Amino acid sequence: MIDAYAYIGFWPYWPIKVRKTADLIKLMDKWSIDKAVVSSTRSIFTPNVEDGNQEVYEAVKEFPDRLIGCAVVDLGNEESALRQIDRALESGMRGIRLYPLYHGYSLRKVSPRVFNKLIESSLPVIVPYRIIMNWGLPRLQPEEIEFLLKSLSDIDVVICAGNYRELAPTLEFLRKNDNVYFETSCLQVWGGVEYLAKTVGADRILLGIGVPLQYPACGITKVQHADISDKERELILSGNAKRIFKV
Amino acid sequence: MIIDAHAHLGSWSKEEFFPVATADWLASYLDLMGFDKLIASSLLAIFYDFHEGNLAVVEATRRYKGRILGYVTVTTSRFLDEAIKEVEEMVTKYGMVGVKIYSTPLYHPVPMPWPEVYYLHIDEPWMYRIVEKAAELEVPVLAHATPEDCLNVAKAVPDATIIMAHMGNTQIARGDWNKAIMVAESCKNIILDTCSSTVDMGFVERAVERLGAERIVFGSDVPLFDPWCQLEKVKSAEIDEEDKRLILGENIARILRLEE
Repeated sequence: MIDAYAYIGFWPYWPIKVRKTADLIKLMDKWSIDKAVVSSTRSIFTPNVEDGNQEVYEAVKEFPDRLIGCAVVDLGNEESALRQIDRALESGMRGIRLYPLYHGYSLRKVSPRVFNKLIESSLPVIVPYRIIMNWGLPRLQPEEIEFLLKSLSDIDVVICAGNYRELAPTLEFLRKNDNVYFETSCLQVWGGVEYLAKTVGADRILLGIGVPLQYPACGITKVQHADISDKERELILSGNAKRIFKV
Repeated sequence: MIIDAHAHLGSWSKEEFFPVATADWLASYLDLMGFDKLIASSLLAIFYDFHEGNLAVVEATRRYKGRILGYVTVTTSRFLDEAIKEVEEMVTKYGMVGVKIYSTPLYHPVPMPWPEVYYLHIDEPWMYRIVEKAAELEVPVLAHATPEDCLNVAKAVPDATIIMAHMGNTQIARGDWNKAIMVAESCKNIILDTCSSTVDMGFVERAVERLGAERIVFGSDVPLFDPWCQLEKVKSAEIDEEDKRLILGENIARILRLEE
């Protein structure tokens, strides 16, 4: 199993048990999660995204077989965004995550140079609606994601952390764009996984759990119990993530 | 024994990915999950005509006697005497086991985010009178509302049992389950129900640690949510097996006096 949407780092809003990367690995062991695609929460909550990205570089170095690193890039400032993308490539990161709400910019205002750099990098771009499924956290509007998709039609884009209110626009994105994928960490809808599999194909869906911020069993069970074939399940649990993140 | 303390009869949304929860559908859901019972309120009653919706629940409880139990819903306190009469009739004549109240958007559906000013909160004097009727009839009140609203209602009617639906994990409550626990700590007639979109790791454990497992009940919010996911919040929580049994069914059975 690969958790396509996971984190390392501190959680500032309430105490969580897992605060160190080694403890994250133990949690993954407990729930048979082979790998997790991680960014650092420090990159979301503190001004310099590179501080958190450095943590990710080091965590991946320490646990290369378990963690897949995603750099958080702040696209709001053109020059620093270009540097951050370069750094992500140099450091062997396998993806780039965007948190525009937390970094104070609109995806509609990102410079074409930055989008071109993202395309040149060939790294998949991960764009979450929210950090985790908690109604207290802000949500990125689907219109912002729509704009991003128009600008990044040549690379893989993984839309994350969508729930029932985002499902209709997300389905439209998936239908219209073959390069777009969706992970399941925040999808709580009855039959959501099989509905997606039947509607857009299991090859477009990735297991997301949100470790260590969300209950692993909750993320896993909705895929395990989904009314889909074993082949579809395998794709969702790990096959698609392996392909997209080149594992 | 597993009792789903928070389910719905009816149709949630026009979107095709939401199932329509008829009585038969709810019964098949119980079979699928291996649950003993569920307690349902009508979505029609919550968002439109409460009497029509409540009668549909009555029909469901008759069709699946002992497996589907019902909450009588009142849309807002503004129906006052009519609402009190509805509660009285539905409980005494039709055997409904609880009352559902809802801090509702005045205009529904509306695009996100919903401004606070458009909500009709349950924390208002006419609602206290409706809740007093529930207390008099010795049935609990399942309240979809903020922790603050539930606290004020619970304090205003100390003989009532207020089950805070979703334990703060709603849009109106901004997902603040910590506040829900704080509030329940300060007011013993508040119970928390677990169903929600939220799967924040550790929230069930925190509630058990601060309140005791006796103050928490399991719910799924079907047909909205994946029930396996809702169930795993409790089953996978790092709490004692006895605490899980309490949450999954024994607490609500005790509150509803099902064994009597």
